[in-house]
Amino acid sequence: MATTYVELVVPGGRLYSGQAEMVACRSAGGDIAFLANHMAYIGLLEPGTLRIVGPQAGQVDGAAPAAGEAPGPRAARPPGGSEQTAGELRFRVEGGVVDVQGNRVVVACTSAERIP
Amino acid sequence: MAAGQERVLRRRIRSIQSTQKITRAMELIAASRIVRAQQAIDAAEPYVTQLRRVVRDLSAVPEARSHPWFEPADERCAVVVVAADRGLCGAFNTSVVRVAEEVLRDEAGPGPFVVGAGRKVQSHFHFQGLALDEVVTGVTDRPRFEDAQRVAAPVLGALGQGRAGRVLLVSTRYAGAGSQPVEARQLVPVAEGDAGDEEERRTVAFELEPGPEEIMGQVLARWLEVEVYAALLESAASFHVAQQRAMQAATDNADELVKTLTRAMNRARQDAITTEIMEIVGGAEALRQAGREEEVASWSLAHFPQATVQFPQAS
Repeated sequence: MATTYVELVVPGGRLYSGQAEMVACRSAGGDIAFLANHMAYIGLLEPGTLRIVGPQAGQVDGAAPAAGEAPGPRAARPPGGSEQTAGELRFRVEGGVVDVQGNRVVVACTSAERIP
Repeated sequence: MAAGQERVLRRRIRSIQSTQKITRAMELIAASRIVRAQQAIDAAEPYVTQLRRVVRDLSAVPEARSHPWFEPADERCAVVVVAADRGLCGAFNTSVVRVAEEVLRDEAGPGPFVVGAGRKVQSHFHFQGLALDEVVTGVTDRPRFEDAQRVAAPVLGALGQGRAGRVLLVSTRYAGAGSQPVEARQLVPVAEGDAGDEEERRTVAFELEPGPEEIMGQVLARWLEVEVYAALLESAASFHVAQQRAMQAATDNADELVKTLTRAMNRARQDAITTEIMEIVGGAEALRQAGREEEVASWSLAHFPQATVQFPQAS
């Protein structure tokens, strides 16, 4: 299946970057999903769940330590990042902005949290 | 008395050395915090870039450009001044405040709305008898995004309530380890091309949700927070650089001072010894002339058990 480049960024860092089949979230106008080659779009996100469906060997960077936190030893990640080819990643997001252009979906949230 | 002077010097040297330990420790701490502050800047970079990019893209939409932040009717200015909570960092705080004062002097119109971040901004403004409308302290060492929101909130409030139309941000920019210039940046009115670099300007039509005005309002508010956040982060990194430099200079100065004082102390000790020897020799000579050599011998043995006293054969 065709994929699109997806990035989820928060002030503390990049939570996800990589290819995925679909991104689904709730925007101001209701639930919306982006497949590959979606038309250019800018929208406000409502607080809710963001799903990245079919992440392809994407990097889940894990919340980089926020500026205010001590760096501390980061939890060891499985070798090669967490490569997932199936399933989906879910994040609980506060409001943010979705920017889609050129087969690129970039979601910028004030805060986002991975839902296991 | 010479021995007293020696003691005084010894005490001073010891006190300088203990101060030096503190400054050296602070230097090392600052150095490690520079690294962490740089990491924080790097971590925030994707988010900052993205929001700037969205603002730039949106500002290409005519309807979105009708937002008052592009052409504010209100001439009054909100000024955000970002410095540090702590001192011992050379001219870091002073140079920020100096630029801020220049900016405020240039604001001819009605009183500007001033928001300060950092205890040193507060104390300086208070000392100068200048008005500070809002102050946020305790956030400048390791700023979090929530801290930036706290700083930006009164500015957004002032813009919303029509208390100000423009926004200036005075802070230290972190342009690498060697250069941290203080800059006064205009955030509002949003400058064309200021909100991002001029690479590909989007020409495609795109879907907006909700309408352009509303989305622009929301995005701009977030963007202002992000700009404040970036300023806080860069200011924190610059602060640590300034502090490291100041503490390094202090440590070096202490070294120099210890060296000078040690020299003075050694001289004082030498003087004391010389005086003592002169006294002994003088005393011995006096006894010898009085023909009491045995007394001299026993006296010197009592005082200087290791010394061998020899007298020239009396001719």
